[in-house]
Amino acid sequence: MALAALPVAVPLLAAAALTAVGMRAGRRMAVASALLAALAVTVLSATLLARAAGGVSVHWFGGWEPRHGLAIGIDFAVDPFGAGLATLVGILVVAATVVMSRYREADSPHFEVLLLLFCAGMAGLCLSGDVFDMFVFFELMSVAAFALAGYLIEEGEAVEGSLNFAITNTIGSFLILTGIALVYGRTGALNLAQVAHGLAARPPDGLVAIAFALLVCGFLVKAAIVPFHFWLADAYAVAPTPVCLVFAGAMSELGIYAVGRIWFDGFTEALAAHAGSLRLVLVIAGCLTAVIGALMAFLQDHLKRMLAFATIAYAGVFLIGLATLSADGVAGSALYIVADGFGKASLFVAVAILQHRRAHVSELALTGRGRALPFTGAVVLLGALSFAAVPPFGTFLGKSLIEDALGATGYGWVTAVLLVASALTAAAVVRAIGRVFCGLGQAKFPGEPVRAEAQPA
Amino acid sequence: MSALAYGVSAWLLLAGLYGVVSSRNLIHLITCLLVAQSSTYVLLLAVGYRSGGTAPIYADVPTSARVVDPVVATLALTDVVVEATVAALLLSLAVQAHRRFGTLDPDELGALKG
Repeated sequence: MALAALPVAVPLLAAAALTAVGMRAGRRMAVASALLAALAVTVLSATLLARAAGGVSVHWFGGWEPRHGLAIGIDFAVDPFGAGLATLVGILVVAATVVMSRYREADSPHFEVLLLLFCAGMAGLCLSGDVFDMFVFFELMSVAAFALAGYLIEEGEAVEGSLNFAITNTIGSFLILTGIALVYGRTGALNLAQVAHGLAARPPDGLVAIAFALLVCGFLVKAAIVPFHFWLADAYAVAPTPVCLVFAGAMSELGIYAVGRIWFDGFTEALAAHAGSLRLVLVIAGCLTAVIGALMAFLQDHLKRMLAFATIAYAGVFLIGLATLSADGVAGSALYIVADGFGKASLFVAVAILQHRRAHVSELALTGRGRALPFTGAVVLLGALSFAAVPPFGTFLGKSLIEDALGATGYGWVTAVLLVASALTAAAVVRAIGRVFCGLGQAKFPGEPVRAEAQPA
Repeated sequence: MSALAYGVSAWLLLAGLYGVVSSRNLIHLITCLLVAQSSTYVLLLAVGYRSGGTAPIYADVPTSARVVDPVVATLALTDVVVEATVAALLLSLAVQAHRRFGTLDPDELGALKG
């Protein structure tokens, strides 16, 4: 099934072609080809999702299938969670391309090229069944993300935010690679299923525990789990808003997904005896992240920072779901990630519109200035309801599943944390609606000059 | 031999990370990051090393010869390529930071508050 490779190959080829054509492409041509490639990723991933509905389908590149129970080839293992995330990535990249085409004029296709590389890296990470390939796709995604975060390079802030982002995440990737080297040293394998086989053959010792800890920490840096969270708000605050919707909707969540993949496909058998303590550690990290993220989101008046901290809070919630290490919990997290991804993406689009039309991104400076934009206000209200996890939204279903799984594993008290995260993030957004779209409260302009990111319409 | 290589790898990682957190100059900081990164090369090569092994090129040695693991060499090569990209990007950001702020001290950039 060569289809599995296409969600990665198509955006890479499109990015290469756009780079080759360069300036001659023209604005419309660049946007159209990026859109087409992103749409292709969406459709291909959705097809993979439909095919993977029954379980995992594995594609071995170059026909290097396992012989005598030994896998030395490189594979894509497509499971419903991964294929679903790849579909989400495709949709968000389509949205980001459309928003960016209205948001900012550019004379070169650099933005589209970077976005396509970013898309290819994320799709590859979702589908790969090989731990070293996961690292390579992860790095491809990260490098494109660093460049996208610093895209508005004429602003000093963008340089600084992108530097913080790049340095912390690069350290995270060293941890991952060190973990991979240790795993390879023990098992002689890079394929996750083969790794699981090799690890289970011997009782686990310190080496296995250290390798697992390194891998998990590396991926949790990307997911911005406390105490690795400090880079995220800076990066999101400076990145162009259309990029933020992909960052917040999919990138952070992929860190959580990678942890799940490493655990369930690689280490679950070898470390089965320690599942209880892993659960405790991950639940505590998730709770801290959810509470700190939600509190910080509530304290912000800079709308992008508010949503960035909400992203941190929800990364904590997703980690809690994963930490139950049960089918229900993971299913809940998967649903929650998709539903919340759309919710956060639409909020970022609304912020992009406000920023474009009103040249401000601070809630206080925007007081009452959103009255003439009722549709944008309605979108923000829907986003707030999605954060609040009320019934018609997918977030409600995801949250209920996580709560059930928590109850079944004896962590019933953690549901209170989920409630706090939902309530505080929704309250922050509702407060912003009250100020910006209803004109409640006093307008206050910050002392510093307005960021010149958006050009007047 | 082997224990030495693992020790060197751990030392490089820790020394590099210490440099990253204590550095007052972006170029120095990025170099420290690369020092930390070179620990992964040493670790990978140590993992695949077999004492008495030769290079895994079967053109001039018999296929029964004892060779070192070729996979780790390819992993290290891939890693070199990936991290060269990261280093290039980071250094270009450092150049931009110097242009905007006139300093390379990460503590004095200070455009981001809160």
